[in-house]
This record gives sequence, structure tokens and C-alpha cells, in this order.
Amino acid sequence: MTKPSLAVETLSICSGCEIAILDLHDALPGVLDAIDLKYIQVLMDFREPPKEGVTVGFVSGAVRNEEQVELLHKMRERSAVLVAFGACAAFGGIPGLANLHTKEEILKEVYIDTKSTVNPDGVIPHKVVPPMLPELHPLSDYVKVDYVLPGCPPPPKLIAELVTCLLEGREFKLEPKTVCDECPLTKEEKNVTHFYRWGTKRIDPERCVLEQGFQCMGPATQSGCEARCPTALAPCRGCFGPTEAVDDQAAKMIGAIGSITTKDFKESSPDQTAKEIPDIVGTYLRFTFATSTFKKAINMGTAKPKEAART
Amino acid sequence: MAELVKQPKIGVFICHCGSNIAGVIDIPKLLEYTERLPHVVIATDYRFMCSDPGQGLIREKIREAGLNRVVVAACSPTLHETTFRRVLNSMGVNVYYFDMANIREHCSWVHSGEEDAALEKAKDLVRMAVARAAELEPLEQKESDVKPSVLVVGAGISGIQAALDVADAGYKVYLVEKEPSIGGHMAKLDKTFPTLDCSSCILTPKMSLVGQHPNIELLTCSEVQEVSGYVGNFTVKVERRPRYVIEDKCTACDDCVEVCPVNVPDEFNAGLSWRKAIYIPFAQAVPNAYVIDTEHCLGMTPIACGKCKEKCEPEAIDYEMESEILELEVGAIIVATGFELFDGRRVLEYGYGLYPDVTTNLEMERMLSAAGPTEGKIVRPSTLEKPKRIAYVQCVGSRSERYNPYCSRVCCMAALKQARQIREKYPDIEVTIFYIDLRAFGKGYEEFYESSARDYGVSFVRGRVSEIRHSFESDKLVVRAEDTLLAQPIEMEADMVVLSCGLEVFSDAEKLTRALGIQRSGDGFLLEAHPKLRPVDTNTDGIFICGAAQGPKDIPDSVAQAKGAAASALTMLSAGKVILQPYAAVVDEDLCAGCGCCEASCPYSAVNVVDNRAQVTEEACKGCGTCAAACPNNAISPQHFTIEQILAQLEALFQEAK
Repeated sequence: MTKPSLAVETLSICSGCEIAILDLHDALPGVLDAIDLKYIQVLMDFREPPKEGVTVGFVSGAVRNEEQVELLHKMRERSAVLVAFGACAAFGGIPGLANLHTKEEILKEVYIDTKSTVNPDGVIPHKVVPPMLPELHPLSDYVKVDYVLPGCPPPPKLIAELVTCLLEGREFKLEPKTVCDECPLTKEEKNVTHFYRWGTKRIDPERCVLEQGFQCMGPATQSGCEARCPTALAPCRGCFGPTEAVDDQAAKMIGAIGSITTKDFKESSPDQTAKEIPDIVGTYLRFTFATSTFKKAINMGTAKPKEAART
Repeated sequence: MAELVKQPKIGVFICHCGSNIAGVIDIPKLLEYTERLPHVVIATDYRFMCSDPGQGLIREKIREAGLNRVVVAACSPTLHETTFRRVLNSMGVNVYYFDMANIREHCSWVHSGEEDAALEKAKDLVRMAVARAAELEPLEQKESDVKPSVLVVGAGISGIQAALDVADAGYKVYLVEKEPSIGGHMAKLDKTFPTLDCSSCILTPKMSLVGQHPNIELLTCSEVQEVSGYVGNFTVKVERRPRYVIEDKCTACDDCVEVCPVNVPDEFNAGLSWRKAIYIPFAQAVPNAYVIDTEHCLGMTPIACGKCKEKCEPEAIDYEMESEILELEVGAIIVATGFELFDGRRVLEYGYGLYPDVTTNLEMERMLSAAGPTEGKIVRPSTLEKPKRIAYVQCVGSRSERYNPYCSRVCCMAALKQARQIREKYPDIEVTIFYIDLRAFGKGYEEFYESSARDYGVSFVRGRVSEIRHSFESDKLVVRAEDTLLAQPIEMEADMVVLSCGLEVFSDAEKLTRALGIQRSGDGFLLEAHPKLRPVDTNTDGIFICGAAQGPKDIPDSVAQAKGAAASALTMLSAGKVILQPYAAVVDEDLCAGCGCCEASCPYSAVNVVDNRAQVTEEACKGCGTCAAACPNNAISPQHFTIEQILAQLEALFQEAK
């Protein structure tokens, strides 16, 4: 019997997700024994997924140019099971924040306006490189995705679990609970009067970081990471996106923030709380902007991206 | 099972409300539109749906068409939801299969003159109500027993009256007062307007009744710390601070006071006299027992002082007393925590606290009292001589954009009363009142005002005082104002100025309202459930409010409200049972991660995180849905406004009208 085969395609991404596969460490030889790794660009010199097809295809990264659209479709055709691997593939991830700007603005900024750029003729690369799409998209905008493994990057433990599930023919599913469920920090009372930038205030290592005034996305973020950031006393940034019970992670988190900051208006006010959150998009939509309700509102013309970027 | 899979059969009943609705909205067009909505099997209209024939019409259609859900498009559900629910109940339809579209307050009343737009909006409202009706679930009401006891917080005149009324009806009352004696502000007043009764003469009989009433347990030096439970079944934690004097042993011989070496400004006399660190607040105090003021006592050990203990023959002084936490079980709570006088020092230009001759209305009240620091004589604080002219400044801290926008209601009459008392005692002292408007609105008040001006020669200047300064040449105060009737600025010299400081909400209001889970209005005072029809209820069932804690009030109004609050509590207690609406939020354990956002947001303290999962105390939950908005994972939802129902309404709203 032939071993099940795996292909890993890399789209618009930092390659951290691929490194996460290597992070399987001791489990890696076992995985490699059980499966036939056919294609992974960080390790092998192939240009596209194998024509004969694979059992499982991992696609990391979002779709930003025309070549990536083509590669994604090839992966879909050639994989029996397609996995959106990591936050960018799942919901746009950090590169999705570029959707705050038009393609023209991005190219001008990168190739002309940045201080370190010497480009007297103002040439924007247009030959040889694949044409850029007007916006960045998650995989699900183009193809049917069978499984989503979120995270920036996905934790090795979950990668191993996903692979095991697929090998054993079991359903892979994250329990629709949020990070707080796994978080070991002690929750006392959520009555937050001021917010602080991480690193500007001493942290109580035992207590919930959100209660201490740090913007932790834990309450609105899919669990599965074992609360790796809050455990290290860094607030959760929300890289697992929302649970299946929720449409919009940011809207839910902003609703929650509103409810935990309004107990005592002597100490704080909604205006002042808003001032203490200088980067609302970067705080609440860091990984999900490309798929957010907010982005849809911008596309419908009911919200303004420039103002959003400034706030 | 057949019930569960049954298709929604919705009947929509559109009310004309005479011409209130039909005068603006084209009812035939609305009807025609409504008939085409999904699940609607019948749509009909009537002149007054709330009338007996209107209700009969709904009954008839339920029977004829086998309706299992009813939507009435009429007025606000706060008016007639119960009326129509009764109709459903009489027809054997679960009363929660009912929704109202408010096409009167939300539509015809606010859009008269724009008939087309009003019709479109009415269509939206009806379409949304129908969409929600299709998602409604049947719910069951529950009953709960009521504990036969009442907690009254605050023992001023309101609290005293409420406690007496409840106790006289045969129920147990716990009366909690943070000061060492009951009596509140009224005990400090000399006489009361407009009848000029001696304040303590009418108050002290009530105070001693409270002290002796077999049904009243009086807890002085005590404060409410925590309230849990729900209507009919509250558990209240009260902290009782020690007096350090055993009430039963104390013979009130005053020996301890004589030896106490510490002098403290006496709060009861508005700081105009001294008391010792061991003291009785005032002669008629209830309980009539000494108390040690630990803040000023030199230290309760023989090393530091210990003189009082040494001197006390009956050995009534116990330095080892400690605070205790009492746990009370009550069925209802009456909050009568009163007011606090506006601090005149906040108005810098009036110089209170800077010039000794600028005083407040409360200080004047104490001076007028025969039992007060001056034994009823009026003196200039700086010279202790009789003043020749006294100026009253009205609306200090009230009716002002800078401090409080509201009218404090009692200061006009209080100033008039004091002015009249002064003129009665000393016809040679001139009294001038600087006012914005004189508000003499109560029974007998206008007559009192007329007579003060006519028979007692009190003079009036209409204008807000802009500044009070001290003149070194004359050693008098100079009051500057604009006389708005003459339209010119005036300056007047006075020996003494009395600031009519307004009323503000009691201190610690934030802490108490949070513990009780009740709300405050924009002015800081406690919020009633309805300004006209439910003036002593709060939005938390079983908690009532009365007196100046609800808003500035004079004594007659406070007493009336206290009696109202007592009657409301008694109605509940004598019924013995309360019906609990099945609106409570439910938690989806599969989604809840125990983050606690719901707990923080609940205005009724009905949600608690236990073992990393939210738990709702069903009886305390009002189904307001704040927790559902706060929950970042849609894990909690009230039963009668589920997320599905709200989304159905929203979808219907944004759906293009067919």
C-alpha cells in the first residue's frame, strides 16, 4: 500500500508556517515515515505541486497576485483534501492589513516613497513579476477549503494532531471555545479603567492580562494554542481568528471591551478608553481584516479606509 | 413533538388607535402589505385593538385560523403587552408567542406630516415583528416565595417612615444607618416650612418609636457591603462598625466625655461647636449611646490615653470591639439614603471657607436652633456680634451649568423660612434674598412666600450673585450681582452671607448602587423605573427607592414617597409569591470559556463565573441582553430576545421591501 502523500504550497507569506512544520521536532521523523512528502518549496526545488496529485495539500499564505490564484487552483485540483494552513491562508492574516490601501498606493509607497529607495525614474516592476491583485484574499474566496488550521504560525501540536486525524480518517475539529478557556492566568474581576501599551507597566504574572489593562484578544479568539501568548504574559493577538460561533472577531472583542470598561465612569469614559487604544485596526483586526465585516463595509462604501488606518 | 414542528401561523392585528395611528399611516395599504409577509395567515385592523371588542377580534381569529403566533401593530409594549398576552393565554396559546410592532410612539407620533415615509417605516416595523414572531419560542413562567422581611437602607425621615410603616404591618425590618444615630438631616433642622413646626418635635417621637419597635432591628454605624439573590430572596451583607461602648451597660452619665482630652468640630452643629472623641451625636439620638470616634481618639490603649475607660464606672467601654459582618435575609429592599449638601467651597467666587462670615443654610439652621451652638442667637462668626444685614445667595451649586443643572427644590423655601425666623426674632436685621426664580410650588408655599415679603419685610433681588468679597474699610462682605429686574449691576454690603447650598446625591452612591444592582439618572440620583407611574420602583424587582436619594425633595414629599415605597414592598410581602418572567439568559456551555465579560457587564449582578463557566441566577436576571452583547463568543443569550430572533429582525429590516 502506498503512503498518503502531502504537498505544501506557499503563497503570500513569511514562511513561518513551514518552519512550524519543522518545529514538530521529535514527532517529525514519525510523520515523515507515515507520509510521503511530495512537495514543499522551502525544502525541495519544485515550481508547482505534483501533477499526479496528493492526498493532502497544505496551503499557507494568502492570495495576492495572479500567479498565486493559479497555484491555488492547481493545489485544489491536485489535492484530495485541502487545508488552509495558518492565519494568512485562513483569513488574510497580517498581510491582509494592506487591504486598507489600494494597490497603487502600496506600489508607490514601496517602490518610490520610502526614504531608502533610489528610483529616480519612478519605475514600478511590471515585467517578469506576476501582476498584483487589487486586494489580498484568503483561500476561501477562490476555492473550497476542507480544513482550516489557524495560527500565526499553527502550533506544532495541532499540526501533528491534524496529520494524525487525516491519517486515521478522523474528523479534525477545534472545540469552539476561546483562548480564555485554556488560559492559566487567574481571572478576578473585569473592571478595566485604563489601557496600557505592553511593556510600559509592570505585569502581575498571576492575573489575567486583560484585567490588568493590556489589550488581550483571548476572549474573542479560537482556542487550541494552549494560550501560548498569555502564558508568557504577552497579550493574545488573536491569530486563531474567531470561533465558528462568531462572524466577526473584532466586533465581538470591541463589544466585550465596551462592557468591561464602563463600570465606573469616574475612572474612565468611553472617549478616554478610545484614546487609549491608538491602533484599533491593528489591535482588533490584526489577522482578520481581509475577511472582516469592517472591510466589507469599506467595500460597500459605508466606512472609510483612510480614517480607519489613522484611528 | 407536533407542537415543535408546527409551522408558524402568524396573525397580524393593526390598531388605528383612533386617529393616533390611522391619522398618519394609510392602514389599508399597510394591511395589504402585511398580508403578503411570510407566515402571515391573517392580517386585520380595528379602531382600538386594546378595547374589549378588539381583544375579542383577536380571540375570534385565533380560533378561526388556528393562529399560533400573534403580532399586534399598535402602541408600546410597556402599555399593552400584558393586555394582549392575557388574550393569548385565554386562548391556550403560550403568551411568549406574541410580539408588538410599535407603530405609534415609534412611527405615527414622530412622523406626522410625512405620511409616505411613515407608511414605509410602519411596513419595516411590522415586517421585523413578523420575522421575530416566526422565531419565538414558548416559555414557562415560574413562581418564587417572598421572605417576610425588609431591609431599609438609611434612617433619615424617609427611611424612618418606611421602616415604621412596614414594621406596623407586622413584618420584620432591618434598618441600616451608617451614622451612630438615626435622624438624618431632618434632625439638624430647627423648624420646617411652611408650617414652622419644630423639626425635632415632630421627628423625635418617630425616632423613639423606631428604637422601641419590636419589629425593627436597628443597625447603626452599619453599611451595606454586598447584595445577592433576587426579588423576594435577597441576602445582604452588612458591616457593623464597633461603637466601643456597650449600649446596655452605658448609663449616659457623661463622665467619659468630661475626661476626654480631644476636641473635634461637631458635625451635628455643622462644625460650629466642639464635641469630644467619645460622644453622643445629639441629645435625642437613637440609640442614645456613646460612640468613640476612632479617627480622632488618641488611641484606645492605656498607653496612649484610656481616660474614658478608666473613668467609666459601669465598665461600658470596650476597646476590643471589632467590626462584624451580618448576613440578612430579606424579601425587599428600600433605599432611603438621602442627600448630601453641596460643598460651598467649590464655588470659589463666593469665598466660603475663606471668609468666616460666609456661611451655609445648614449652619444658619443650627444657629437658629435653641439647642444649637449659639442657643438660637444669630451671630457673625467673625465677631460673634449680631449682624445688621444678612444676604442670602440662592442656587449655590444648583441650576448651574458648572455644577448641577437641576433645581434642588428645597432651598427657596428654606431660605424664606430662615429669613422669616430671623425677622421674627430680630426685626432690626435686614434680610435680602438674591434669587434666580423663587420656587414656592407646594401646598401653602406660595402663601408663605407672600407673607414673608408682606408681613415680615424680607427683601428680594432677582439676579445670580457673581462674587462675594471682603471689604477691609468696612469689614463687611460685598455682594455683587446683576439686578435683572432693574437691568443694572448692584453691590450690597452685608455682615453675613448665607449660601443656599443645593442637594447632591449621597456619598458612596456608586458603591451602593453597584452592590444593589440599581441605576442612577444623569444627575447622579437613583433612577426610578418610570418617572410618573413607577416613582418608587427601580428596574431591579424588589428594590424600592424613596426620599432625597431619588432626587431633591422636601419633607412632605419624602414622607409620601417613603409611604409609597413601604406600601410597594408590603404588597409584595403580603402576596407571599412573586412571578418570575422566563427571560433569563442561558449559557451555552460548549461555547463559554469563562472569560467573565458577561459578569462584568451585568447590571443586576445575575451572572457569575464559577469553575471557569458563566452561571446565571435565573431569578435575578431581567433578560436585558447586556451580557449577550458583551460575550465575545455568542455563548450567552436571553431567552426572549435570542440572537436568532434579533438577527431575524435585522435581516427583515435590511430586506428589500417586496
